[in-house]
Amino acid sequence: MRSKAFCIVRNLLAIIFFIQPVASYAENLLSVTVDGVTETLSFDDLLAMPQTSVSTDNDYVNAVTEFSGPTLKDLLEKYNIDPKEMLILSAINDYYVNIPASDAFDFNVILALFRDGERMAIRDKGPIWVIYPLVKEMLINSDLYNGRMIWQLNSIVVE
Amino acid sequence: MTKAIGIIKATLWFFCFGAVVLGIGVIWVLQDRVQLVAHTEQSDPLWATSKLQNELLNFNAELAEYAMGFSSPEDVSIRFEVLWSRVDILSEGRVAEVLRDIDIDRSVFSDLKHLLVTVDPLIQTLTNAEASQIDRLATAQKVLLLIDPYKSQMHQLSVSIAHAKSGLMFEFRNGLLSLSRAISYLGIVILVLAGVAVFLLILDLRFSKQKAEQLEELVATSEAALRAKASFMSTMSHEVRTPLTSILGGVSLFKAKYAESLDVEGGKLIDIVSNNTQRLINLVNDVLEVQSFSEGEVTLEKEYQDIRSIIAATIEKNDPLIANMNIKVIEADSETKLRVNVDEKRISQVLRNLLSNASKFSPKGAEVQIRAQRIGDFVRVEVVDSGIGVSPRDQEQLFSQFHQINPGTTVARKSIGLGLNIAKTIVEMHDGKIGVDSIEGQGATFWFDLLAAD
Repeated sequence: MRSKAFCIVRNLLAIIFFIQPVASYAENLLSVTVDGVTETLSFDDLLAMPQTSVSTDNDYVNAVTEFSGPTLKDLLEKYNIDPKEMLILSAINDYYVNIPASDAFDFNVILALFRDGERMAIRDKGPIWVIYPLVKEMLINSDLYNGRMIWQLNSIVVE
Repeated sequence: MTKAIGIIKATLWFFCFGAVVLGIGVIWVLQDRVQLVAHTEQSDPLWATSKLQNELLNFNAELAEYAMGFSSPEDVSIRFEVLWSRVDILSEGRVAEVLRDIDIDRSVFSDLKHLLVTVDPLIQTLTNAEASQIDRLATAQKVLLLIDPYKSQMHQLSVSIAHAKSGLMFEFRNGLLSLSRAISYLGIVILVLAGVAVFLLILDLRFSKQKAEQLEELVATSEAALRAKASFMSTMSHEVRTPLTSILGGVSLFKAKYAESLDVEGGKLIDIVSNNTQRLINLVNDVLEVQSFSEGEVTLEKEYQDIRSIIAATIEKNDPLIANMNIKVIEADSETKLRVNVDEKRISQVLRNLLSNASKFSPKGAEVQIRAQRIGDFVRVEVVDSGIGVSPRDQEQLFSQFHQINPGTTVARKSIGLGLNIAKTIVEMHDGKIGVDSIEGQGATFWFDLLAAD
């Protein structure tokens, strides 16, 4: 009897465990602030945008990995953000990096929502990981681009 | 001198080889060091560790706030998730690679991961709406206790990584220092080598310049000597010819006038005088002729002629050179076309020279044959004697200036060796060829080819 109750509790916990992150994806995944006006995008909003898939290596993975999600360029164009602007990308833990918006236009930078076809939990550097596909001409500066690959992204602010 | 140069060259080569080896070594070591440091800098484990420490403290604070009722379980959960991702950074990708390379106790990472796995279900119970507030608080306190020892462990880890890194940097700086020394040695060696090379080049240049000057001087001197010789010969010959002609004229007149009143011996003496004077005149003429040939003063007056008529005219002319010779002309078939476009005077001179040459080397009164024939596009004239012949060695030089073969004991037969050279010059001016076929002791066949005129 007691073990049955334990079983139910465990299953319940498991369900909550699996549902909880999904529920948090549903809203306020990413906020975009342009000229002081903030708009929030949900996972579905991002998924509704054209999806791009890239296979790349970087300093934080062991091997070439497939990432997919909308391109940063599409997002910037959606908000009419000029390539000359500087972007402040912030993460859940308040860490942030400044990147030139031109990166989105020069390289195929994506806001990865999936890693190897799977959604990423926060502990797996999700739900959004900014991925620069490192091509040959970027390798000389790979340090710079690796530094711009912010994970657990939750806000983009245009200065 | 050459030995010294050899030693210098060997030393230079040795130094060059040394410089190349040193250069390769320096580049090799430099690349290795730079790669290691770049690796460490790029994926700075110290930064990753301090970030982790920071997140651990954040999580700790969030949990404490929650325990005091200031924070929501969702915030705690997010902090936990972020902390988890931070621990993973240390076991994945570049940072993990670098951490493997430096000498630290990495057990704390696996302990941390183990802690996270243990804490994970506890955090989930916090967000469980059904759990009581007391249970939640108890859980939060439990977690706080669990993570407490790791705060100091993380601090220790940071310190040891910083230590390891500064050790690495020290090594790198040391390496750079020794490399810079190696590079300066290399620079000195290269400079010295370049200096020596330039010095040697200058020496070489000077040496060859000196040599060239010496050679130029030598050429100028020898040219001047040649000119002086030629002009001396020319002047001499001219000066000698005039009195010789007078002597010959005088002797001829004397012979004509007093021949009958002379006894046999007197007549002989007069003949000797006359013959030798004639010989002298011929010699002088030859010298003058060669001179004018070499100065390009001779022009040809060509006419279309049958070579047979030139041969006949030459023999009939009874030139003193070939007088009293037993010459037999072997007639070719009258049908054969033997017309040539030549300067008759000059070709006749060639014939006379070849005939007189033949007579010199044949027994007195021996027969000398002349034969003209058609060979292909050429008309060939052959002068065949039965004299001593020409050795193969002499055949090569026979036609050069002043070449002589000892023709025998009689002084009268001696010449200065210009006849064949003149003949060769004339034949070649006609675009012809001249040569000799001979077996030593069995006579010789001198021939020349002229282009047929039909």
